[in-house]
Amino acid sequence: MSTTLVIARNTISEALRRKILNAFLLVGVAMIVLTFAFQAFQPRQELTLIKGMGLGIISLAGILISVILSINLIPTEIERRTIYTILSKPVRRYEFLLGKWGGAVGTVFINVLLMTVVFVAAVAVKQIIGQQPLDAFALFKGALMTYMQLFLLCSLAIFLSIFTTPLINFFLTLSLFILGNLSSFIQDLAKNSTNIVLKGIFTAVHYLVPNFGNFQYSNPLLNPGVQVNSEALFLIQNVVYAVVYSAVLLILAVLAFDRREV
Amino acid sequence: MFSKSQRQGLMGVVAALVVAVIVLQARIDPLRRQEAIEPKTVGKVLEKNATTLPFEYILGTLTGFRQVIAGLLWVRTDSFFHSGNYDAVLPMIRLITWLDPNWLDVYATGAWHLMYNFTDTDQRSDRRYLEPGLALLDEGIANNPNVYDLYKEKGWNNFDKVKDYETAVNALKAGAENDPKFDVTQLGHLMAHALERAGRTDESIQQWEQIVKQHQAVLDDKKSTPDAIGRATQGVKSARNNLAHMKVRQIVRRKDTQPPVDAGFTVTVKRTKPKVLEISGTFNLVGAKEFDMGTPEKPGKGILVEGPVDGARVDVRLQDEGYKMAKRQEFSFEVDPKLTIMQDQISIRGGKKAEKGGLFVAQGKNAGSVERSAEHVAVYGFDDEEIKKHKLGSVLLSKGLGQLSPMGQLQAVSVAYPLPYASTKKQYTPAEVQTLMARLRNDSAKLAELDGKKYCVAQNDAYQAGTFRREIDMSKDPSMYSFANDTFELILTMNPRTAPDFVQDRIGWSGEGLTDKNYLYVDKEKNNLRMIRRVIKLKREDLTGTEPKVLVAK
Repeated sequence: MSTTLVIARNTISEALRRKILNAFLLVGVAMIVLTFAFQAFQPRQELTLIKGMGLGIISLAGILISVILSINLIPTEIERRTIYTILSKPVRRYEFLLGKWGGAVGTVFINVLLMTVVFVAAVAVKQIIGQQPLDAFALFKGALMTYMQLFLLCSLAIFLSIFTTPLINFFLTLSLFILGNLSSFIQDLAKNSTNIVLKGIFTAVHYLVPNFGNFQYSNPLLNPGVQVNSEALFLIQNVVYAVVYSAVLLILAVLAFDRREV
Repeated sequence: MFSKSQRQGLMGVVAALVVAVIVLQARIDPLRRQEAIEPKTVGKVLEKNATTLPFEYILGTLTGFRQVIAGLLWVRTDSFFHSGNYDAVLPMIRLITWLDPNWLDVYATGAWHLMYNFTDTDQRSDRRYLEPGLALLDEGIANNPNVYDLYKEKGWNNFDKVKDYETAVNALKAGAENDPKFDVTQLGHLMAHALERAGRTDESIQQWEQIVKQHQAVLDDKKSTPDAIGRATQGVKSARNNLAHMKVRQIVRRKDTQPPVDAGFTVTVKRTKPKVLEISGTFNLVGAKEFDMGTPEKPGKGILVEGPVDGARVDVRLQDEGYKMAKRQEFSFEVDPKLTIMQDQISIRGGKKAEKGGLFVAQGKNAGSVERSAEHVAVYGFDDEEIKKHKLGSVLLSKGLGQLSPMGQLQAVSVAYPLPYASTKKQYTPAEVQTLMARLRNDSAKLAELDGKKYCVAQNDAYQAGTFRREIDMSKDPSMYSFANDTFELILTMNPRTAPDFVQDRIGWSGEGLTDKNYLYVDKEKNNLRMIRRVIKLKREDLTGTEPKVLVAK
């Protein structure tokens, strides 16, 4: 376990040193600041715009960071041949893979946390100055859902990186991300389909493809008037879903990586 | 390397976890598909706009960025609005409300835009857009049934624009019932005003009493924020004021509105050019010139001085014969291009009177307003022609002191020694008038000042009803006024419920003090509203003909 943690820590350090990640972070923070450019709108409209844009920017920046980071972690080690040095030491392959994965989700966590803290603080200041009801801290729920979505996305990208090149993985991961976001439509297609084969395919896709659409939780945060039934249960189930699905992907990745010639 | 048994064990774990994933997904689905998280309207964006929306917007919508897209579209909509590109605004509003059906401000702004901002070259609203505007609000209410905001918007638009006060009351009541956290100042106050305009004065008073209690509860609550206390302080002040006025008026209007005033309504409609109508006429609009309010415990005397006033309006509406605004089942911003509706208001102005022995102001070639102290005792300005016509003479006040009637004496001392602006005392008593008259007789400086202002003593009675006149040009906006129908109706109305307080003080909330030999119309569907109404049927040729023509006289 300690080996895994050491690899994860090193992966985080290395990732944070990579300028591309810092650039994304800076862009994310800068764009959050830019969301304060809506002062021409009425206060409530302005706040809705700021919240919507802010959550969107965190999500978009997070997706790019997660995909670009995760698809490269293992292939880069193989390409640079540094993996031989690591595996020649008392490091098991699964420890290496889990360490890399831990580094990826840890890096994403730091990035999302930083962006969220800046964003929530900015919204809170705006609400206090404007003497509006202070509900900025509810945005952490949105950030949690975004992070769990990215957590699952990192797991998927790392799983696919065992079999594919980074370029293919990039498109494959994003395709599955879009497909996973479409799961409600796919579920509706399954419900409305009269062809039993199609119905079966749509149903299988809905349940088996990682359901990234589960984590879309901006509506109640942007529109405080809406009432969500069983909010806590919904959020917890989504966290568990991301963890369990990631576990599936990681075990399969471990098994595949264990047999892969490097 | 894992052993075979380890691999089999791990695959078993994977299989178990996959089952767990499926079970979890099945449990998440019903929670996720609730309207509050995943509104069904989002599907319509793809269903109806998949080929017209830019790809990045479709992609953004599909990947969970629908509210970012909605925000970007809203920013764009705002820029369209400020650049005057109104036609581009409507499809954007349609898209945004599908993308984010819980964004209340988009419905409110969209309805306002539809109902107020589409105008002809003379700034008259395109009334065809009222129907879609209300349909948009209904859709917003259906998507957000537990939030009061859009009920309030529906109430306000019916109150202010459509002037359907019963529907306004119903919308506001529904808002209060469905959202117990409604804002009393925004929704409650409007409901009280709407009840008053609907002629339901007892209920309006009850509503104000309720509002006072609700504001007071906020003020008494130690947990109330400074902001809430500030709003409740303003709200309770305003509510108490309105409540007191309503209670006093309910008492004094019973006597002040009798006998009814004869409106003497006449109208002349001329076609001056094709699609240009000149509408003019007379209306004897009488109101309170000075009013003693008092308090609910000790009501004042009501109207102290009455006379012709400016301020009320004649509503003019030209529409396809038989048109009635329908309720749309589904929002669409399309309007019938063949439908013609024009609505305008014309102010009634220039009513005046002078009684023999009373004061008037000789204003030379053009008569206009008089100073406030004179206005409150029914002293009017007359021009040279009017003075000649009514034989009012030219006796200046200093020369005609001996001719002053009791009313003339009150007028004279009131303009000579006006009561302070904020005085609670509204009028001099007869004894005070006599004392001040004695003072005025010896006050040569004041008399010279009033002579300089051309205050004269009337040598005859004079009475002139108010008039109204406007040229309505519908020729510049063929897309708004198509005149496609064969027959039209020109409806002229004067509705007491939309009149200002000082007019209602004389003619009543619902026209109790109003009559007319020819055009009194009692609307039983509106709580026995007595209004002046004349409907004139016109053919298309009447409106589109090229030669000037008098279509209706008197």
